[in-house]
Amino acid sequence: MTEQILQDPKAQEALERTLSLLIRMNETGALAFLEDAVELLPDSLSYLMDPRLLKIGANLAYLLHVVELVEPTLITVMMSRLVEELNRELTPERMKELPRVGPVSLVKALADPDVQRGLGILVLFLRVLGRAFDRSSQELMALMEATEKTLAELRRQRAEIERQAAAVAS
Amino acid sequence: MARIMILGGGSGGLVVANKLARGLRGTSHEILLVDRSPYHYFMPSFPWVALGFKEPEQVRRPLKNLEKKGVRVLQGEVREIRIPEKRVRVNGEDLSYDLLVVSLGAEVKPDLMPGFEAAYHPWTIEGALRMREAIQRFEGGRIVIGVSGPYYRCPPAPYEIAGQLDFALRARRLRDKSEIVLAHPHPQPLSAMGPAISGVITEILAAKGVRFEGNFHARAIDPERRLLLGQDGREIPFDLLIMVPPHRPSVAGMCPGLLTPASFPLVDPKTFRCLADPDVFAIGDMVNPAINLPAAGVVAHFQAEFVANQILAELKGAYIGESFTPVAMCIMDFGDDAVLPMCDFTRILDLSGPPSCGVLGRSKAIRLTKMLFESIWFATYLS
Repeated sequence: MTEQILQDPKAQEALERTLSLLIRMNETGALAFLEDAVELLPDSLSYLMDPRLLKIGANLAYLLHVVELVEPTLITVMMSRLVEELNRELTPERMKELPRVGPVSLVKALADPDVQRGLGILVLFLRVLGRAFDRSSQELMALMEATEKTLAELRRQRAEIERQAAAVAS
Repeated sequence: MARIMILGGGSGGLVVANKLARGLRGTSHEILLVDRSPYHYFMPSFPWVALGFKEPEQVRRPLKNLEKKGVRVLQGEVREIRIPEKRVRVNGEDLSYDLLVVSLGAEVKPDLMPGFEAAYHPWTIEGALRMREAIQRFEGGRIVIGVSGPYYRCPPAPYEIAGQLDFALRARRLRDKSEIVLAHPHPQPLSAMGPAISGVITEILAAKGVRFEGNFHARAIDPERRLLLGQDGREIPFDLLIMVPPHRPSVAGMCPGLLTPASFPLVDPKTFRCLADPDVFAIGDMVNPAINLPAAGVVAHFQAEFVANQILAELKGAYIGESFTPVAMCIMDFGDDAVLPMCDFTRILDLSGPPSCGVLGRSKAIRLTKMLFESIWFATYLS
């Protein structure tokens, strides 16, 4: 079977090219490097499992998940309008003479419907932020309490096991 | 010349054997691995066998392949470990060792739960094939996935099975006339792994219409009335019951007088050396619950690396170079979705705080990673 395959000119050409590649890899040291890399493969998993790397990975994955949750149509429309408005308002001329806002002009600005809408967004955001932090702190407190109870039980079990081991050892 | 004997050809035993074979190449030390089965099975794929996605021969490789690497393989049943004499009884024969690694895992004991004959499970290859037939016969109704106790191999597996069943029933157009219930001792799905992972799994189960019955401690099965009975009096009716069987550590007479009340070997949690004799190491599912680590192949893997390094250091005066990494990760395949959770158990191991857990990814692509990992595993350790 092998002899038959080797008679095929296409197989001969493929073999010649492979051998030629191997010779070049041997000359350049790439083959020796691959040999070492193959030897390292079984160990690579445990090196990659460094808890610090995994935590970075988990946090990055969460950030990407947040990005994934944003609807592309919504973000595209909102961001493009925001950029348009910024371009229109923040011109170099306007930047030279930035309006100063004191207490009186701040109160006047509050009459502007656009400012009112912007404030509405900020207030809404602050409300969401406050509610989320309140809920998360409650959840974390409950989690810490539950964990402490579990750990206390585990410490008791560990102490019992150590006491038993010491008794046998003596 | 030392004889290093490894009991068990699962994840832990296989990694120890490979690492020692590489590290002791060219020396006269002998490595002997004993297992009752001629095969190493990739257990994370057992649910795939049960769902018909894989065949048994695809998820196993002969342990004899290790002999090409210089590891002697003996097929036999470990009957007794006589630590004071440094001997192990295998198939009626006494074998001596200088250093021993015990990685016998956990055994399924269906008989410990009354009425278990009415249930199916993929925790053995034979069980997975039986479960496949039951699923093929299923024409709609209520599938209940139950858990017999908190100690079982691969804690996330029941959730994966629920997700895969949902997918399979949709494909067979049986989902509309079926209900899937997952009854588990935990209050929330995978709550032991913290709110980040639990939240994602809860979301996936809800999206798939899987009802989660938490705080359910199964007591028995009533085959006549087809009920799963809880310790608190709850009764869950089923048409098809998939039940995680009771598990027990495979101690095989190990460390007499040095077992925990729950029959786990007593080991030093920093070195995994048996307290009865420091020349004996015990790793994996047979020991981990006693040191508050999960019964998972990945934990056994990292323990095996660490134990092999300690042995190499002892025999060669070698530089160990790394410590035990108490992390676990598991690719959870839900059929049309997949999640890669990870947990760092450093704080649990020294009892200073909760594990640090997060989700490394959620995507259908992760399912591919599981398939690739199986290939890499076999290619690396049993080619």
